[in-house]
Amino acid sequence: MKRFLLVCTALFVGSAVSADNLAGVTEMVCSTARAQICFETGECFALAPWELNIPDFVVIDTKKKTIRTTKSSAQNRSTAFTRVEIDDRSITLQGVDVGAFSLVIDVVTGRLTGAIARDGLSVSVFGACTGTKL
Amino acid sequence: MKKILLLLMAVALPVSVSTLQAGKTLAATMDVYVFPSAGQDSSKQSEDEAACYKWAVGNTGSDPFNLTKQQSAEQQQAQTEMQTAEQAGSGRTGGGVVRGAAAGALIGEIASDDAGKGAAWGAALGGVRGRRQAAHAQQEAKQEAAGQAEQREQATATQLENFKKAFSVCLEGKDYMVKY
Repeated sequence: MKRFLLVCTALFVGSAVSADNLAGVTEMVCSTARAQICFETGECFALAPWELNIPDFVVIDTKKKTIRTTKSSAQNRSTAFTRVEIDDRSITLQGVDVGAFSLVIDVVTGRLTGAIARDGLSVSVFGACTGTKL
Repeated sequence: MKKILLLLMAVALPVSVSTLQAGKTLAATMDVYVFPSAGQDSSKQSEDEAACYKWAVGNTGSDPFNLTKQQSAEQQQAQTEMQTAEQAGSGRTGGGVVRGAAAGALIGEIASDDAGKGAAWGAALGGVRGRRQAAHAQQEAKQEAAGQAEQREQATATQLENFKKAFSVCLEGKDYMVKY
């Protein structure tokens, strides 16, 4: 009984941790949960992502090096990134689009951290990603 | 008689004798070096220089002493223009302009001017944009003012150069060796 319980616990914990494991994933859907914009004056605003025109969902393709909106959003927006680095721990993307942007996605947890830097302001975003093959 | 003539010449010149620096000939005040090749004495040289000065003014339409005044007026004008340029746009702090993002850009349209319209953060964005615009306008105005000042200085230098040429030619015609 004790062994059975241990196996069950291990399975449960294991599946919880690897729920959004992105190892080997080249296309993923990401969503932003929190966003913050800060200005050179020191003013910062914590906002809902859509208040900053951040799409609810984006599709990141590390092979095509693009970030785009989903088809169902009908927004038809996309940005290419110029650099991608993938290792066991994280996926890092960088590009230029009216300033510079960097996104870091934790391979194990799928957590997304992003920063956009422009003249006089920066936008920070925090969210999560999962593979498109659900 | 010669003295009276010289005195009359000096009065006839558009320049008062007092503007000439003590001990310097008319030519020397303009950094023009004159040597009397035919052994002319200093009073003859002064007389010839005065005559040539008048001749050169008539031929070039420029008077170096007026040009000097003009130069200092231009310097003052340039200074005023620079000050105006520095103040240009200093009151402009609001009113952002949509810029940068290509239509359909995903990252570029985040926190765009359009997205900020009517929002509290949009006002902060407008402030940043306004300050940038003011700084750029100030820089452009400064460059323009500097360019205009340079053009004016160049025009004055050319006028002075032409005058010296005419003045020299005249003196050379009167048996003087001239360098400037």
